[in-house]
Amino acid sequence: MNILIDNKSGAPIYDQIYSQIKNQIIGGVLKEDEMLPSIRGLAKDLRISFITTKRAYEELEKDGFIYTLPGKGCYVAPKNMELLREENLKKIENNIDEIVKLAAVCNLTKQDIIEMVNFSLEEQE
Amino acid sequence: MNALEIKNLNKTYPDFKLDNLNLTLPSGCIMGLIGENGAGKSTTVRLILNMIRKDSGSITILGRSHECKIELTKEEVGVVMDEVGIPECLTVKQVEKIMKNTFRSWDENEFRRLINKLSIPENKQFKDFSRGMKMKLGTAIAMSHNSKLLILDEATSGLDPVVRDEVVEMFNDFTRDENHSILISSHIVSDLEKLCDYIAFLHKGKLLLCEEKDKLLSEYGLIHCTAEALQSLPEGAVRFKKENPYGAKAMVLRSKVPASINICPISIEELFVFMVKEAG
Amino acid sequence: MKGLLLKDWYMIKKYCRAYLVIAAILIAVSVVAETNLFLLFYPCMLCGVIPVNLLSYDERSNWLRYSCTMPYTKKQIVSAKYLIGILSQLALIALTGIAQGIKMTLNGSFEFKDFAVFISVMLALATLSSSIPLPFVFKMGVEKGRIAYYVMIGVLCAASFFAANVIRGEKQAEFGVNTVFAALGIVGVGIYFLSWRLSVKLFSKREM
Repeated sequence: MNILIDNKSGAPIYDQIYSQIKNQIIGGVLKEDEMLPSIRGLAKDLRISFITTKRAYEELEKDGFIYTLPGKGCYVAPKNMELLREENLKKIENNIDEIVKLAAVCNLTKQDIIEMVNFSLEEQE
Repeated sequence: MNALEIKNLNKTYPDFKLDNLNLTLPSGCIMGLIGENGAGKSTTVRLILNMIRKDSGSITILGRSHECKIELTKEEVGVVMDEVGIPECLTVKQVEKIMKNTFRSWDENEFRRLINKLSIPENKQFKDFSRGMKMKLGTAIAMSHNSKLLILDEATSGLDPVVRDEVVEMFNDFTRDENHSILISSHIVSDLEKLCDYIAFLHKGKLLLCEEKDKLLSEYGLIHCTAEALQSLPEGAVRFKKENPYGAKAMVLRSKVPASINICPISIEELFVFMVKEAG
Repeated sequence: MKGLLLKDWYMIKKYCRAYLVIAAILIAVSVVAETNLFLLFYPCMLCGVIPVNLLSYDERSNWLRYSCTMPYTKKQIVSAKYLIGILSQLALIALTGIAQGIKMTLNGSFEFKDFAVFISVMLALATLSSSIPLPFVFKMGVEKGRIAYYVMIGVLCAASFFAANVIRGEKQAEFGVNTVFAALGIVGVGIYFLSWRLSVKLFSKREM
């Protein structure tokens, strides 16, 4: 597992950890029921406050990506299809937003965009 | 359990007053005590260690009251001050023997490990050590008697960046054990910025704040804008501002600033400087 | 307290070697030469100031402050110095005593009464040179404490000069005078004890 902390980026450190672990779970780098590093161990390895990693883990657990066995540690939760779908839908929405913004910059019409999407769909088939 | 609890601590000198200090360091955490020179950091540390007498207040170390047999508590407290008071003529081997006869739970193997890790020369006399080496030896001693609490007073000041990094790394590793805690005072904020779980600001003998570091960083932010734009912010949003002819920089409470305004993260150092200036 | 004693022992080995050499020479000379009270009593006083010297090194290296961060009570820190002091004094007196004893025996002039008086005066001198400056040093630090020490040296010199004259004048000493001298040793040790109690009290109040 890789976690890269960027102190200069504006994003809070807990959030960087949260999203990187989340992405690795979704991307399949971290397998179901795989044990994650301990909250304290991860904090010390990254040389950051353990309160930070604790918060990241708490958020991950709240969102259903990991589960905790008291006294043992944190594990990757079984992939929840519903959750994944939701995550992916969110991504699609974000990308569409991006498309719409860029389209406006290029003066594309609604028709143009739909055509482009259709074209892309046909190609995929 | 709390590693350290200070309640309503007072100490008055003719020219300085430590004013009603309250601090709590939960077990397993690192607290950075930040203050300019003369803010009362060393006074606080010496009060904790009972090297000077408090006027009033209470101190509890590792769950034990200050009043009862503090010398027994000191078995489990490792201390590094800005100067390591080892007599000049002693060698590491002699120091080791002295410490072995001083601390009941002296851990010879751990001391050996640290000496090797930090490549501290064993047969040189202490007077021939560089400042960095002296501090390293002091740190190795403090960490070799199964301490549960490290109290570090300016232990990293005057060290070159490489040694400082090594020492900070050791402190970081020390708290892998959840029963281990550290109180570290420094005026070099960058040392503490990453390491600490809690940050306490001391200014002219008064505690400005004591808070989780992450909470501080998420509560406060910096904005760079024109002086007029600053004026238009809601009341209470700006905690402190610095203006120059071309614009302004302000420390703001993130929660009170409209979402449309871009807020940069603030560093602990900037936060400290702004807060000290705000306090006057 | 073992750690404290060990540390002082290392320091004595390092810094007080010169003292040992001087003491050894003086003892040797005193055996060969005619009885000279200076030769006998000067090593005692040298030996008596060892604890003060140790303290001055401690202060210079910040050891006193450092040891206050260790699991020691202030009483232990003070006691270690007094213990080291009395041990080194006893060792020196034993050495001198043996040397003088042999000399007297060889001369055929050994008399237990004289010998006891002589030991007693040495003990008094040695302990006094520690007991007087130590409380000052523990209270005020070595710099100011040293001044007290010089005052004390002056007083002791005058006293020993006076004592020497008395001994010489009353060659065939009356029993009374001898008793006074014999008692000196006990008084010295008594003062040493009181000085220790006082130092503990003063040092406990001192802020490090």
